[in-house]
Amino acid sequence: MKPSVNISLSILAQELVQRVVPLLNDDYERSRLSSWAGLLILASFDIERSPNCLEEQNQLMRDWLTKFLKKVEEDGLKRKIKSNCTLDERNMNLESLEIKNQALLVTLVETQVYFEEKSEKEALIECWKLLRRIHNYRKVSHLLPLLKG
Amino acid sequence: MSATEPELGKEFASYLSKRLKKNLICKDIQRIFGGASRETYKVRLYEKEVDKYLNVIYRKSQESSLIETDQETEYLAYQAFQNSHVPVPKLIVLEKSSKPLGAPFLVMEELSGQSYNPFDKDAYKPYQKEIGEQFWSILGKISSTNISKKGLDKKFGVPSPEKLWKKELDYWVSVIRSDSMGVEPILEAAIRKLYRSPPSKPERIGLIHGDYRNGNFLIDKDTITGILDWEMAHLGDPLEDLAWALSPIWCWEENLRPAYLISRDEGLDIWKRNSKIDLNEDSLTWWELFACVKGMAIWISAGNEFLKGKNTDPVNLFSAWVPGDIHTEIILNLMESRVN
Repeated sequence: MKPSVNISLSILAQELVQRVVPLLNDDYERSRLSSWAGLLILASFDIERSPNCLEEQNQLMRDWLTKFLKKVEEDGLKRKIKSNCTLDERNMNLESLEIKNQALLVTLVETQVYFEEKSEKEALIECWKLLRRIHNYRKVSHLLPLLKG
Repeated sequence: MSATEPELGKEFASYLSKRLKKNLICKDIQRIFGGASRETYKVRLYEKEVDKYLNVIYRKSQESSLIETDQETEYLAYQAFQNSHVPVPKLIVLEKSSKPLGAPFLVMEELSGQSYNPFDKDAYKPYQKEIGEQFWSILGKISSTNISKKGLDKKFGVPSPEKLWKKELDYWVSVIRSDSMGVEPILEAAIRKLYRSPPSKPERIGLIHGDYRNGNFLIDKDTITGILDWEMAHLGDPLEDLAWALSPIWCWEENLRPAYLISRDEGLDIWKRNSKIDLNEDSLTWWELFACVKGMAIWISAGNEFLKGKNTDPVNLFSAWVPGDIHTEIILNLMESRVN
């Protein structure tokens, strides 16, 4: 077994902060390199979970769209939802998953606008719960204390 | 100094010598890290004839800038508060042309004091109370500035009070539309909400700092010595600055103390006393959501600059990742509570 990419990136960030930054004399360059090291730590948290996260997020969106499809009366939107919810994502690479993710997000926004105009409260409440879950997959703000360390 | 800085320092000293009719020598020049809208340097100059040092701040426009405003905006705002109750650095020179040093710039005297990272919750310990009182009272004074007496109405142009909110919102939404690299459903919902339920007409049109928050002022122990970074100054509803300063992004780890200073209620009381504005809570709520959209526009723009290689300063990548993430979460918190 070899060290994972995220562990390697974390160690690289620590090396930069502890060994290379002190060697620099210029304040600006020191701050700049420390920032890069912090960003490397953030990236290391994300790198291995990305494909699974995207698959899960896409599935969550498909679940919501499918659940409330019966409340959509507009044919064009119905068709769009159906076409976005039928795709099999197994074995898709990261880039393809991202393209799919963006397409689903577009449809999600359109459907949310539709329900806002119809004041469809249940669908809207569920949509905000979904958006919270999607955000939780992506959030890095909880790592703020770590960056300062 | 980095490899190119001694040369820059020499050229800068030569320019300033001509402008001020003095013989100045650059003794040290250091770039300050953090600002993405300007390249900012601390320069230590020496005048041999009188054996005196002059410490100045040299703020140079960046070819690619996170906040695209001209140097004159910043200059006019600083000028409005020279020798006033709002502490600002003394202005020395505004150079509007790119010819002398490659880009327009502003030169100011360096003030005593230090600025801190806005994400550092301990930055103002143990003087949060003293600094907090000054922070909100200075903002109140900025909000109460008589714009016509200072000539700011002619310099900036007075927006129509009825459409002022829309002008600001349209601007930041246009930044999002031009720089966004993906679909942001949470942000889009906030934009729709803002257009659908506008705020009341402002009680007064005032000078808006545009980025009034912790991190954008200098402190010397328990005293605020200077309010900085006026590049987004404009005329508008004073609640815009208030909402921006109150935003939870600037106190993310301790939400009950905006700007990591004093409580929201204490801060608002001080601001009201100093601004003499009767606070409309509904309008403030609108401007608080607007602050998130404006913030997102800035962070999206930063990410775009980075991705396109226009400016690979890590502050741009950081802005897209961390503050962008925090503002999204603040929108979520504000919007979720309204739909339930």
